[in-house]
Amino acid sequence: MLTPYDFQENLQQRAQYIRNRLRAGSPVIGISYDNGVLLLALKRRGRKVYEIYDRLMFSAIGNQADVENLRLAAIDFAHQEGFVRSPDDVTIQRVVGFALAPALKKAFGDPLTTPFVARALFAELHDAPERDQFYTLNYDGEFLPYERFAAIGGTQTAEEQATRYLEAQLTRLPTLESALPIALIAWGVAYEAAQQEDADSVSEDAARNRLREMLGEAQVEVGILERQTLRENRFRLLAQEHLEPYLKRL
Amino acid sequence: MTRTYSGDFYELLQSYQAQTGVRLPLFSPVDAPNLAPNAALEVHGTTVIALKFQGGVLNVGDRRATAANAVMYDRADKIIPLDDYTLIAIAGAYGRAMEVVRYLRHAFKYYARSQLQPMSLDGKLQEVSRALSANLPNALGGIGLFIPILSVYDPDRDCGRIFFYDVSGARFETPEYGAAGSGSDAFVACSTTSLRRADRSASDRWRRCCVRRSCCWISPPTWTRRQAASTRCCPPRAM
Repeated sequence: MLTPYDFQENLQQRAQYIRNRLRAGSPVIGISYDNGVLLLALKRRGRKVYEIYDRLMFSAIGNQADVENLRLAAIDFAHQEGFVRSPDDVTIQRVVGFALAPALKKAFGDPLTTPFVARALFAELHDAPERDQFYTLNYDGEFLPYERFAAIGGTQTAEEQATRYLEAQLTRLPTLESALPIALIAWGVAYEAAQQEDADSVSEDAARNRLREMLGEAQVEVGILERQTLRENRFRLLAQEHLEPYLKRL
Repeated sequence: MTRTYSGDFYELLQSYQAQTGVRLPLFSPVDAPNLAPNAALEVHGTTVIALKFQGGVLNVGDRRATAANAVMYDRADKIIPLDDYTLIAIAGAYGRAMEVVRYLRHAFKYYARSQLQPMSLDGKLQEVSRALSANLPNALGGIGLFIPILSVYDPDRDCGRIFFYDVSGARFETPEYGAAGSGSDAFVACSTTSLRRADRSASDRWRRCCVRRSCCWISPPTWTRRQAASTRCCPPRAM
């Protein structure tokens, strides 16, 4: 029997399909520290944290082709604007809000296209740490700004728990050295929470165990944007040997 | 959502022009009367120099911008880092040169960020050639002639290298030093005698370059450096 097309049902099904696929995603933690901003993720293969523009970086979970599409669209927009106007006019809210979100929304709502399977976290560096910004961008075009720290994960509870952990730990502006261990545990919290659907709160030990276990098959990747630097490029990925001491101490 | 996949910034700007109808000055030749083509092909008033020393490549240049015979500005930057491994020094029409420098900075970064690998040295040199040949109609029209010197760090050979160009974009590599601008003939003449004998320390070589005021160099570990003094005017005797 033919059923009439139901817009709401269609959207719900699409959302359900995307959420199921995002659940297994490896979380990303963002923290603003005294001399910069960091994004921390675990990668199995390939890269996870990418440079977008002079003061912008990005990481995402989801389908790799969709993530790549988002990344290239953000880079295209940022460079066009940076050249035609000025690098100072390339801001996180313009890139996320105007260049990306409407396209995501359109793809999500259009029954004839495949929606994006992606959830992204953007970070923007400013001269003063209190002005650093994070934006999360959802598969349906929803975006939200954050300050000081942000997290994306496979489920909403995973994000909430990681954010709660960060809130409790980051009582004042951290340094890179103090932010890295916190970001690692927060990653564990988010991942563990996404695995156990009904867990109210994940203990630090459980998070640490989960992280240790994951480190057997994946590598930590940390991208930073540096506030004070002599280099032309503020973005760089931390070298593995720089991360070793933090991983040993887990 | 995306338009280009090749990491070519030129292509991206072309599609931006096509979509928005906005004409970017870089790609629109100036309609200038073809007055005296030969006179137009002279660069005068500026000298920029690049030379190698033990730790890298040193660039020096004056900082004066002129309009006809009047001094417009005495703090112009003529030596500009394009990325962490590349310095450009320019002699000639300042406006056009700055536009091209802005283009190159974006083109290198755009490629590296979108393709997830840095543009090769040859690719960068080719991009400069391309920008120069695109600018040729302007140069022939009497507006917009400029000549760059490129100082780069070559990661494969782990050494600094110097390249210079002609107006149409032809590229040449020079073993020890390069110069562009009106003083370049004199510089090359005097440097063949004095610099050959010089030991290869940066300060000594700098002292021997009788040009003042703007200085940049590339050397490890982060290859491009701008000397703090370069943003101030320092008297020639300080060198």
